[in-house]
Amino acid sequence: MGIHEERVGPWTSFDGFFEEEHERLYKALYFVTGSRQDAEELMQDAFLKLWERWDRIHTIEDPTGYLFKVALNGFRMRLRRTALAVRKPSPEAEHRDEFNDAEMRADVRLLLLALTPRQRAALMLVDLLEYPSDQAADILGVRASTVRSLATQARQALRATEEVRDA
Amino acid sequence: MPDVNQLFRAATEHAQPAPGALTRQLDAQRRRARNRKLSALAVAAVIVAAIIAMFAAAAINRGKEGSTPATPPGGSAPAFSIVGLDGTIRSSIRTLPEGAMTPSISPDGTTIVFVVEDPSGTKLRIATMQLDGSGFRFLTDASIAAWMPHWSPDGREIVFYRVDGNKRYQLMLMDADGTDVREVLGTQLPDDNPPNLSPDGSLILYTSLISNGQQDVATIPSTGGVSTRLAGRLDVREEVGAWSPDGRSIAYRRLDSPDLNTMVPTSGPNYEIWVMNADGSQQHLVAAIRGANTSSPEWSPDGSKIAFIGARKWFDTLYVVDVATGDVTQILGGLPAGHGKWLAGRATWMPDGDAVLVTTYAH
Repeated sequence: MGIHEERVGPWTSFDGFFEEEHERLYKALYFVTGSRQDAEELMQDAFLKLWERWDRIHTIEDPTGYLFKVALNGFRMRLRRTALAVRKPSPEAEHRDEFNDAEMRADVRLLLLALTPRQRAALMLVDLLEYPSDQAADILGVRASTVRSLATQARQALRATEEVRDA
Repeated sequence: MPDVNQLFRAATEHAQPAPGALTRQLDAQRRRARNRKLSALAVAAVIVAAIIAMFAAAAINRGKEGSTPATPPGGSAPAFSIVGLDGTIRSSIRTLPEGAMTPSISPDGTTIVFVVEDPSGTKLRIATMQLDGSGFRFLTDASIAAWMPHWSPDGREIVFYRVDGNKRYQLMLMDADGTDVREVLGTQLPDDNPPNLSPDGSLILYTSLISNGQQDVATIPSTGGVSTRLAGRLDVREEVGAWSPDGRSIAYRRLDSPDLNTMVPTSGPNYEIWVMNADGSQQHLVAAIRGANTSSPEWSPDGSKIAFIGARKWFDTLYVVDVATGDVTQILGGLPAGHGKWLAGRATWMPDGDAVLVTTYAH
């Protein structure tokens, strides 16, 4: 009898998985948060959680989806803490300067700033990663109807901003 | 409406993870793994500490009841603690140097002088540290064993014993910073009882060894000279004297019918706390604890009370006796066993007179 090997995906190791997925996750998190630092921290935390479960990775049907889910869950928790901090004045409650990137085109930044972080997250999950609304809702910790609503609001905001820009 | 995919690409085309992302990730993993190990160790330590605390607490309760525990209290490390007269531990120095023992608080309540084993484990050395555990420093060097330090009433000097290479025991004085070390008395007879300076600093009260088994409390000028025996009886054993703050009285411990082979008897004659006038007259019993040897009497700053240690087989107990009435109050049991000698048991008063410094277990 040969040695049974669990197939965990096309990656031979956690390092390989990291190399394969980290850039895409980083970009997604940057798109949602508008902050390179936040994207880096959320990405690292998400990979840490996956690394801690790496010996059971074969039990996870979609490791990449799991990674994004963990990362966006971290983002959601961070939003919640920020909301609490807004109620209690503190340095953490200060408004963040999102997409403060000298290399970004001004029109792109205008469009991104027309959306809230939650709207960008919903848009990314539904339109970019093509998650069904119920799965996206699970990741964001809201109802499916809320995800659909957030995505719709995001599209409307983008359309309105574009019309103003082109007027 | 702009295409979301195009917007995403435009927004993130220059957003790249900083170089070395994998290295940082691996570092984070190592930190996480280390923290997990530390957390696991901390949990294990808390469990062990809780078990030890349970045993120690049980031992203390047994001490409060005056009975002898079947086993020694716990395996916990000793600590120097400020204990209120209601038995509460107000503060502790839990991290002590190896072999730290016999603490004595300075008259101003700021500095502790004590004995500590040299790191080589072959010599006892005298050291000081602040009441918060900071500022540890040796006062005596490692070439000669020194023990039983005690502050002068003005806090400027420390009286102690040491033994030189010829096994000559020396009653010594030094300044509080460890300088100006001078011999007061040299003897070939070993003594491990604490000396005590008179309130005006002119005399040292010490245990005069007459022969093996016969000893008396005696005084000698702090500059050296002729000794004067005080109690004067050879059929009883008198030792470990302490001057009252006004210099008129001396407390000491006394053993009738001394049995030299039984330092900690469980029955029969015990050491008792006695008081006499400074000239040796008016000797009278002030405290005796059934089943325990009493030791290390120390007068409260106002002279109304004497703190002393009751030594049993497995643990010591701190007591205070009212000198006028003879009422004995048990303050705290379950202290590390000093076997009635100098290993651990000693209680020195804080300046305000409502607490003492004593060796406890680090609960």
